[in-house]
Amino acid sequence: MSRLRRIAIVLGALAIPLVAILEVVGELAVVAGVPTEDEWAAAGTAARGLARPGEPVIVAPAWAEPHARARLGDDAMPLAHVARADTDRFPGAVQIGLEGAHAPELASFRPTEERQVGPFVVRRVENPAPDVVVWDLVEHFRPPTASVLGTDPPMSCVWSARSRVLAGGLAGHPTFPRERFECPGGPFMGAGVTVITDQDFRPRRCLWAHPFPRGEKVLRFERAPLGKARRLVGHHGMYGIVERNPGGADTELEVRVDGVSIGRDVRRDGEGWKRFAFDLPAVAGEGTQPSGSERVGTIDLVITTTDAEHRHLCVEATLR
Amino acid sequence: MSEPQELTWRDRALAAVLGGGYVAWLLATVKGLGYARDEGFYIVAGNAYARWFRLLVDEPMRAVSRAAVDSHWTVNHEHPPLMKGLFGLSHLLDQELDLFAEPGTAYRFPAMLMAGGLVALLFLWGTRVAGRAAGLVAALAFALMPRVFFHAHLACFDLPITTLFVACCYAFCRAQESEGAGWGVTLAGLFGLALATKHNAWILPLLFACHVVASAVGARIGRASALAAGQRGFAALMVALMIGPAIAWALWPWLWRDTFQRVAEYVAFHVHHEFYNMEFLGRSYHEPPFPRAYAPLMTAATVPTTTLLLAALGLIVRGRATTAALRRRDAWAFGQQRDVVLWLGAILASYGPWVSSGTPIFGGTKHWMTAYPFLALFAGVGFARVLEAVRDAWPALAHRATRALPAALVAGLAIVVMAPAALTTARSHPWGLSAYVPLVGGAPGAATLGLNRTFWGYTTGSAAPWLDAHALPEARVYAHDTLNASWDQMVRDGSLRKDLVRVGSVADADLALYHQELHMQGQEAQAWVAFETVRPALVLGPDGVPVVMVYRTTRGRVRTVGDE
Repeated sequence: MSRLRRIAIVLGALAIPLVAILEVVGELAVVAGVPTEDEWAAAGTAARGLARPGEPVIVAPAWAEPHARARLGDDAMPLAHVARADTDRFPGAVQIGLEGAHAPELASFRPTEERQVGPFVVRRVENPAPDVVVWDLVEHFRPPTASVLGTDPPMSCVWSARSRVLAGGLAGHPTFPRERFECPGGPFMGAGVTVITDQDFRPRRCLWAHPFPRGEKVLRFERAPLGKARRLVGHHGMYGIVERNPGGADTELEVRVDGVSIGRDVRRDGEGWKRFAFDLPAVAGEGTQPSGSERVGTIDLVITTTDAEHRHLCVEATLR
Repeated sequence: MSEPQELTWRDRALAAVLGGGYVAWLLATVKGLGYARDEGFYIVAGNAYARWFRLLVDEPMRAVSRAAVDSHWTVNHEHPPLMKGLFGLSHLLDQELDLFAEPGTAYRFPAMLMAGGLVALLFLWGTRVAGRAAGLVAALAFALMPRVFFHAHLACFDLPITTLFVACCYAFCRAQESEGAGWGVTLAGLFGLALATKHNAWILPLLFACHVVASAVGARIGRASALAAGQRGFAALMVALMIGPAIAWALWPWLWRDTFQRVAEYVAFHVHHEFYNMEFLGRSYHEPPFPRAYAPLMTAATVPTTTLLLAALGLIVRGRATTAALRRRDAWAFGQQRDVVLWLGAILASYGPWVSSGTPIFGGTKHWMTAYPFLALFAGVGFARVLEAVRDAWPALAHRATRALPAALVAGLAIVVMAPAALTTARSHPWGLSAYVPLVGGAPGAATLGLNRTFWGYTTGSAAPWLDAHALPEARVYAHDTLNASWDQMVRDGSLRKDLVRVGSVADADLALYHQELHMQGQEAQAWVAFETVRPALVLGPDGVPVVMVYRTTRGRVRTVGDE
């Protein structure tokens, strides 16, 4: 037997047992990489220490987020942050990264502080170009600021702070919350703050705004601080399970400020969580920049469709 | 390559030990494993069929009447009856003899026995083809696949059809080499049982037909009689096709009347089966086209890598031997590869449907599980080749006369190559459907890749101890993906408290479970809004990957106690 052939045989004989040993090592490495309860607690403490008011705590990889929510709770990780519409709006964020993971949505943010906590890197990051929210329409969706109207037939929906909570269960509709506007036509026709999962199954906090079968559905916000903002920026979406089966009618969102249309956006099935932005009307002498004035006005989010069946529209909007 | 080895009593005894040991391991680990959705359906069906069996004993004439048959066998008539009938009979037996600690184990026991039987059969077949060491590794390689270990616990059809699929293949091979009709008749009986177990048994005739053709072609190339090479296999196939369906019909009272209409219904149900969702690489697939990479990638992600490498080695070794025989035009040597040609055919036939992007992927790896025993058999052959390489590299280790390696060395090497599979499998329980091998980073790596974390709602079983400790009396629980019948069985087993009230919506609940699945993420969001919190009270899963969570309400009638 040649020396070369003998070496080949020896290597061949050893290769698979060697792979087996590596596989065992790999399994043990998986075990070793699992954060302990104490490490999660320490990461949570570090995140609390780094977070500034109004900044979200974001976990990477995203699948690990429930552990952070379990430890940090609703005060550090409120629903508005967990089911955020976007990250543009935040001046900064705290990222809890497991084993060096990064959240893609924070890719453009710059790190300012960093702490190594066991297998985590807890890092505060700053948004180089925050699109700061002046007024969040979702946060003000209750009387006396907000009301919900219909036009055909003319109707006004009734606010209830103690509605019966309804949830669709498996493959069903999002939860209709305790506090919501009750409209004629049943619970689907109402309006309230809920969370949908969009076409990518990401949670999005928004205003349930199923269009009426006929006419306009108007989500009205009064005394909105227009003088402090330049644009109205928002998103609309539908429960992904509904939207991924195309064939539903288009829905149209029109934004009116003090009764004047400032923009329209047509939504078609399959568009996912869709951003829209409309400039606010300039007031004489103020130009296009926010004036910082106390000017207030009425914003109407007007929703229409030609066929309301399964149009589970959900909208969020902000003044920026 | 040598002729098939005759099995000795020692081989049969060792097979029994391996099979029995596997059943014992399954029984020892079944407690607390929640019931999968499909198990719930089959338990209900098993109970209905068991009532019919009682009626058959008590009032046979009434039992076979149309009214009695239809009323008992309508339940879950879209699936064949054999295993559900066995689940029901096992349940009856347990009621009489009080065999199991948890009543639900009685339903699961027949499938466990089938799994044990398959482990034993793989040992025997591997031993016959490539020696005892190969047989041992084949049996262990199959038993120590994490997904196989999970499915082997369940009162479902996936493991039983895999067993019967392999048994049919074994009988088919034996029928081709034996003079008498015994193995042909055995094949026909097994084929009938397979048809009465699951529809993928219908792949077998096609596989056998291809094998007959391959045998004939191989013989022809070797200048031997194609007719002689294929005739026994052909005869066995014909007998199986004539007798098998009749046995399946006889075992399925639902088909006794309106046979053609009901068979058509059965076919239509499976041909037009609705598509469920399955996550793959971060995307939820619910309609064609499905990704063709799904089956190979999920196999690589869930079957221990060493096992796959051994199988690849075995395939190469036997593939070379087969092609060499053909090149030499050696019909006899080609004939000696009859079994391994069938193994390869079985693997191709089992994966074949997923070459089409129209084949649903919602069942995960279980749908091609019939390929795994054959991968294991090739792994056994691969191990035998490793032993040969060791002997060639260090000849002094081998016995001078027999050239056999010392048993301790063989056992040691077997332990080394099976160690990763054993470790991964032992650690996978009770998160079998979340189990991934280190090649993809285990469960955490798979979660990052966007591979499905769970389905079937069985992980309620893992949350049960928490519910037991934290739910207040008569707490209302939303169990998400867990079927009512599966929940009820956990209550009968004593794993869930009787006083807990199951509700159909999180809006009516005090506690809500969420079994993580990408397309069901909305369920978690429903709990957030209904309970006005995003803070789960419990997060459980393998290696820190959330698979099942429990939320509790922060409003109204709070029926929970204590904080974590």
